[in-house]
Amino acid sequence: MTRRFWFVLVALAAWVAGTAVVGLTSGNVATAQTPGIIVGKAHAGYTPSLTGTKPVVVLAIGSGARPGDDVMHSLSDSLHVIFINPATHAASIVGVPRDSWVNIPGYGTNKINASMVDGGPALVIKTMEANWGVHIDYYALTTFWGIRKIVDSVGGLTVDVPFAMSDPYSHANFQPGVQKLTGDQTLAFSRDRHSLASGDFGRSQNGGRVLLALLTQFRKQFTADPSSMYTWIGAGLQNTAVDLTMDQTMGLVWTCTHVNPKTVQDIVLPGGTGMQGSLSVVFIDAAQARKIFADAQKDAVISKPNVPPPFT
Amino acid sequence: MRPQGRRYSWRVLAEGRHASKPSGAKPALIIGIVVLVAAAAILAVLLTGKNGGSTGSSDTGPLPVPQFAFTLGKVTAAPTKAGETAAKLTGRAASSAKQAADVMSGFYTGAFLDPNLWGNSSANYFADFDPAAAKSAGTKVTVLTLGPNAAAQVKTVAPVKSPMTAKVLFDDNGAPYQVVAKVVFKADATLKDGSHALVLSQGQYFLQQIDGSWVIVSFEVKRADAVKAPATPSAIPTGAAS
Repeated sequence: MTRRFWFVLVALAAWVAGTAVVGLTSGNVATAQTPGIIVGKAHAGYTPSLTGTKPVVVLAIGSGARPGDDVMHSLSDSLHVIFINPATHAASIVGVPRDSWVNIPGYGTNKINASMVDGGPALVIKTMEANWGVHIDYYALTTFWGIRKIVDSVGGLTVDVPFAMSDPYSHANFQPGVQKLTGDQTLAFSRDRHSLASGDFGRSQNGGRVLLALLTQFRKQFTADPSSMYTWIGAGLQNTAVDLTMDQTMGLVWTCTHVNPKTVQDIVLPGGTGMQGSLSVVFIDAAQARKIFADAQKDAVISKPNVPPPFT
Repeated sequence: MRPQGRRYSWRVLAEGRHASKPSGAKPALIIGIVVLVAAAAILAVLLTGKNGGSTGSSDTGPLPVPQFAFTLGKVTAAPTKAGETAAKLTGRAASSAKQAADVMSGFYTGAFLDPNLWGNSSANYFADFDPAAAKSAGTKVTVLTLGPNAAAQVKTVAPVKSPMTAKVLFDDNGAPYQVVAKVVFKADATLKDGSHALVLSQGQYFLQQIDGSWVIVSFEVKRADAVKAPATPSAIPTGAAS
C-alpha cells in the first residue's frame, strides 16, 4: 500500500490515559451526545506538516468525566506523548504519570493532572512544554465512553496482559497472557494502579501497551484487508470532535499504516515517589525527562542511553 | 492475379485523369469536377475505413480494443458523522461506487486490454492516479499493467466477467469522500506461441474525489497469472504492488 490509522491511534491514545475526573466548569459538559474523543491543535494558528521529516507530536489526555462533568476541565489521571515521524515511520510513546509534581504556569506547583482542571488541555500542554521542553502539535482528549465504543466497534482489543491484575476499584481482573478485551475491560486494564507494584508508573506503562495493542490490531486488519481502515475511521470519527480537515485526518491515518508496532518505543518518564505535604506524588527526573523529549523530538526515536527500564 | 473489377476501376480513373488533355474550357471543367468528386470519394472511403477501427486498415490504424466494464457487486457505506447510519447513505454510496467502477474499468482497459498501448513506453497508463500514486505506480508496471513485454509475446487479450465491490467513506457533512474499490480482473490472453494464459489482477484501489473527478490515490494489487497448456513462460509476471 503506498500510504495509510494514525488518527485513530491518536484519538484512542487520549482515552487510554484517562481515569477519574471531577468536572468543574460548564461549556463542555459530558452528556450522552458528547463526543468520546476531542482532537485539536496544541497551538492556535499552527498546523504542522504531516508529510515532513520532523515528527508530529500528540499529547493524549484521558478524561474520566462522567455525564454532567466538563470533559475539558477535569482531572487527567495519565498522559501520553506520542511522536511519529511521517518520513521514516518511526514512533515512540512517552507516558507521564498523572501524579507528577510540576510547576503549572500561573498556578504554582501541583500534580500535573490538576492543570487540566485549571486551564483545560491548553494548560496541560503549556505545563509539559514549560517543565520538560517538549513541543506538542496536537492533543487528543478522550472519555470513558469513547474508549468503550471504539473498542467494541472494532470487535474488541487483543492485549498481552503482562501480569495478574485484580483491582476492585477499576474492576480489572485478568490473568497474564494474550486475551481479547471488551471496551469495559480495556478501560479497566488501563486504569488499574492498585494491583501494580509500580503504581502510577505501571499504569502509565499499561496505557502504552493498550496503544500498541490498538496499532497492532489495526495493522493486522489493514494488512489482511486494507478497506477495513474505513471501519476504524468510522468508529473513531463518529465518536470524535476533531479540529482537522478530512484530508489531514486521512494523512495521519495513512501515516499510521506504515508504523510497525514492534518498533514503537513505549516508555514512562523515570522518577520516584514521595510525599508533598499530605499528597502522595511522583517526582519526575526532570533532567532525564528533558533529554528524552529532546531526543524524541528530533526523529521520533529515543536513543538507547535515554531509554529507562520498563515498569510493571 | 488482379481482379477484373479492380483493374477496370484503375483504368477508369486513369482514363479520367488523362482525359484532361483535350482542349476546350467546358469539357475540361466537367472532367475536373468529376476528378475532384472521385478523389473526394476515395478519400472519404479511406478516412471512413480508418475511423471504423475494427474494419479498417490494421496496417496504419489502431487495433480494436475489447469492451470491458467491471461487474459492480456489494456496495457498503462507512459514515463518519455522529449518529449517521450506513443505511441512510446507501443511495449516494451506490452512485459513487458506480463512478469509481467506471474509472477502474477505464484504467484496466488501458493497462491490460488496449493492444495499441502494449509495450508503448510513452503510454500514460496512470492518468487516473494522483501524482504521488502515479509516481509509485510507474515503478510497478509489471504488476499494474499487462507487462512491458506484452507486445512481443501477447497476441490478443479477451476480458472475462470481473467483479468489483466497494466501500464508500463519507465525510462529516455526509458527502462521499473516498471509495475503496476491491477488484478481481480476469482475462484470457492468447500468446503468440499459441498458448493461453489467464490474466488475474486482484487488489484494492483507493479513490478520492479531487476537483470533481475520482482519482486513484493508493492501491494494493497482486498478480497471479497462470499459463495454460502448452506450458510456456508467461508474458506477464506474477507479483504485488502497493
